[in-house]
Amino acid sequence: MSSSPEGAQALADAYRSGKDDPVRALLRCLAAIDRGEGDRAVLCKVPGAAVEAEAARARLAAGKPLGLLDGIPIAVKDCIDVQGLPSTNGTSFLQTPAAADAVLVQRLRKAGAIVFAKCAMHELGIQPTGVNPIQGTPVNPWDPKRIPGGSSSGSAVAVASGLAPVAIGTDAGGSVRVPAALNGLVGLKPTFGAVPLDGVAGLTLDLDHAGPIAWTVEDAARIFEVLAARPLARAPFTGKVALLADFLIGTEDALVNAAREAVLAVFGPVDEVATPLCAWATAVEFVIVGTDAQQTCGHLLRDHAAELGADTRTILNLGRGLAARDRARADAVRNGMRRELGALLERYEVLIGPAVGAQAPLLHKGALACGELDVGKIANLAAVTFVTNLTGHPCCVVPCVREGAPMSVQIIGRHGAEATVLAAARRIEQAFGPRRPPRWYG
Amino acid sequence: MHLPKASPPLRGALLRLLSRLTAHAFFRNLLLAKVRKDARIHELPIQ
Repeated sequence: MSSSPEGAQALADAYRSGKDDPVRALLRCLAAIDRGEGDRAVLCKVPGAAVEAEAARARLAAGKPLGLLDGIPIAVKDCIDVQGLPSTNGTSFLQTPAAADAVLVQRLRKAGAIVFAKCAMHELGIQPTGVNPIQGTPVNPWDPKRIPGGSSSGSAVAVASGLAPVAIGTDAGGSVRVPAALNGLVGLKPTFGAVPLDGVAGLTLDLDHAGPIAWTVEDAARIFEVLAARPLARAPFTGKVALLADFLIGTEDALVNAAREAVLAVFGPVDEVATPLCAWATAVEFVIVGTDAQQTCGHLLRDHAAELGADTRTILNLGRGLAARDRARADAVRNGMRRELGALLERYEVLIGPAVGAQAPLLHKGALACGELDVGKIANLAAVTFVTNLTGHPCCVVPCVREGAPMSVQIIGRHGAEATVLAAARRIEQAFGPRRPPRWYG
Repeated sequence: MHLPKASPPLRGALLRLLSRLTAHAFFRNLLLAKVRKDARIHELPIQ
């Protein structure tokens, strides 16, 4: 590890030893947000966080913490309801304050976490680039000339640039994992349904998931335990691994090589398996997102077309034209994909492939000003992440290089087997560890 | 992975124009025909 980023576990250890406390930690985060304001990762601070930090400090001093997250500052994506604040969902016009906390925010607070900031995102979470000309595009701390990844762009940039120890994102096609990978972080998309989405604005009917973006696998595990309200075992990973051969096709050579080398270094020689149906994930995802979004976001297109970004409007408009036969085809292939991955996961505990298909693409100036719709860029980045949104399997991305631009692998496991997925991720992490980017405000 | 056929990125005035045109069924279906072809939606392997 080239540096020791300040994650949730590190903070909790410092609280326990008396070297730090929640009030000081929160003040550092708030000061970092002020210093990094120009990087547009955080949209707003949550009022009342300081009071919660004082209460957490008192509980910890009395030896009565609420849980593993007591006093840990956490940022959330701006499609997640926090009482009294608008969930803009990346738009300019959704400004009604939320009447109540999302269930996942309730769970975080019950565990003592301090939800202290709301983070920028791609409008409606509809693309994996994070480019948002309306609210501003968060700056990739590894290379400001490149996109931050999205749609949970602000959540990932906030963690990677030292504004928040951990953050929560949502993921309907890679929106936790793509920005986590592009920012050199751990991102967990849990099993479908494991984390409740009440109070979270969704893009689709059954592709959306919420999960942590963190410095370490252990941080992601702790956050998941609270979000899903179930404990995870911490047994070492000793299961069988296979490499997803189709995920290597169309992926940039550097990412393919990094994934192959990391798997070989950590697990030794492994089988390569074919997933011919999962290889169609891009077409299937496009049809299902396009048709589902008519139900989840159609009213926004109807009532606020002129206020939506041109990219978002075009995608929603195209979805209106998809036919029932398109959807039937996509649903049929999706069912086949589930069976395909399910059968492989009876033979192997985890399946591994590159986390994304491309390194962070360059950010075009024209895109910053008025958005961008680049089908090739979307597919190159996220074809490999679409798969587990469609099948519902848990998937964790974890960095797999020691130097240079971030590169990561994704680890896919059986339904409900987050503990196994994270145990395998821990093996990769032990070999490569987290790295702090050049742009740092913490 | 089956990736869609490469096409030029849409930005600026062209993207704004398309966002308006695709509100109308004729233009929407025209663009969608290209998207379907590029993404090979008709080739999705139904089993």
